[in-house]
Amino acid sequence: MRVDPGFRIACRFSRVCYVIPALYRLRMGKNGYACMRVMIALLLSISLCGCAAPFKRVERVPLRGIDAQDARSRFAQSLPAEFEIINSTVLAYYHWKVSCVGPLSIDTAARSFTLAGLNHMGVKLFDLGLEKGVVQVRYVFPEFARHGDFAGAVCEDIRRIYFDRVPGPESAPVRRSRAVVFRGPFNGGLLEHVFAGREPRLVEKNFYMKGRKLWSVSYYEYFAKDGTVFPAGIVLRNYRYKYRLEIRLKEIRDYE
Amino acid sequence: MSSRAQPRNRNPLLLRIVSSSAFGLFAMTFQAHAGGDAVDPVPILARIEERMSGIKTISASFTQEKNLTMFLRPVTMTGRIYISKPQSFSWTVDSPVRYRMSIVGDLMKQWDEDANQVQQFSLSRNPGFSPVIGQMRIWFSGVYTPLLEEYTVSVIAAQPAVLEFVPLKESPAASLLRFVRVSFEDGEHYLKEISIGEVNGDTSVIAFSSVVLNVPIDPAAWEAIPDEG
Repeated sequence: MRVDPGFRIACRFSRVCYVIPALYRLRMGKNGYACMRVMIALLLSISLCGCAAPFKRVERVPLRGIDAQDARSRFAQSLPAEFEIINSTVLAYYHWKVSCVGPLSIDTAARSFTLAGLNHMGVKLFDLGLEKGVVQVRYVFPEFARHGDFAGAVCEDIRRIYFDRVPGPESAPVRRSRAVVFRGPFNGGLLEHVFAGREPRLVEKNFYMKGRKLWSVSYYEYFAKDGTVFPAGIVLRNYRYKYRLEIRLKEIRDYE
Repeated sequence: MSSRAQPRNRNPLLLRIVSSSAFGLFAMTFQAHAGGDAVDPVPILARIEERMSGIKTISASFTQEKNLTMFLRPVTMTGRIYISKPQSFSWTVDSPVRYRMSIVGDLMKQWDEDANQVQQFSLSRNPGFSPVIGQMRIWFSGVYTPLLEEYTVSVIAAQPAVLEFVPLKESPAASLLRFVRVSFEDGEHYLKEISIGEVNGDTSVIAFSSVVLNVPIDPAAWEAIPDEG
């Protein structure tokens, strides 16, 4: 049975029950401490449970004997250069969520893509593209266009997710027991690639600026199709603006 | 002066008959293409309204194909629609994502399996939803005569009717739509297909099947979260 990580954390922190009575110089018997610990665990569980990712994490196995550079090049060869997919995306901002579904066509070598988002009744919410580094805005739902540079933000997130999934030559490997980590300079900060699993694949990409993590992308549930691999689930977390994207792969199409 | 004599018509009457027929055929062809015999849509709209007025509930499956200008292949959504006139409407999507939007009176609820969050809105307090919701209600209502104030209506086929609605320049729909073409089933009791052309070049075609009329709708159809079955 898989135990919710929130519940595990809650149980660990319930030990604070020993501190609270000491602070207030209260005398409590064994039963008293036990009751307090259960109450604290329950309260923390309610708030922490469900914060886990909506996808199955890759099993972290020991990676002794895995050559980091070999892992990098194998992963690079397994990625499709061009592909067209249909994703379902949930934007979560605190307790507020917005969903959309739509096609994404990417050429990773040319660093270009075309993207459309529809609501579930087929109403188009946005129609964007990136060509030679320039954001193409064909349509943005008026309500979204009122909130800053929506098109720019969406395109930037697509870049973070689907480009630079292979560490560059300037990235150096850092050995961990259950992961292969590469770190290297990127856009004025530090980009970290974390590979894990039996066939080490990219599970995390983290970007730091001045020691602070600004965003991360987590990749889940890889599967193979026609000799290339796709993650069935992706979560992008933007720590600066405190939002999260949960992306579910619904369909892979032939790229044309 | 020419030394050569002008040839004479051997059969002037036959020539006139052939010429007249050719001209008539040409004129008929031209008239058909130019819509010279345009069918008056008003009686057809009245006929459809009368036939659809007896329909109080509709349950149907749908397949929606959204053709986006930047993509070669459409995005396809399938699901079911439930209508209980005058105020209940439910749009349930089964693929590619399970989703439901239900409207009962002024209250709209929506849910999808990925966000897994029920959102509720008052339609009167959130006018932003009105254009889309209003469009859906119009085309399923069967009450089309009032649309003559906002659209020009052309009759593509008279029986069963296929009608094309083009919004007038000053109408609110003109900012979103190029045309809406509705096709009715043989008895003209419900829509068979609706095609929507948008100003941005996209088109949507929604085809309905497995239609059930005037059978009480399971109250579960108005629940925010659809059954998985």
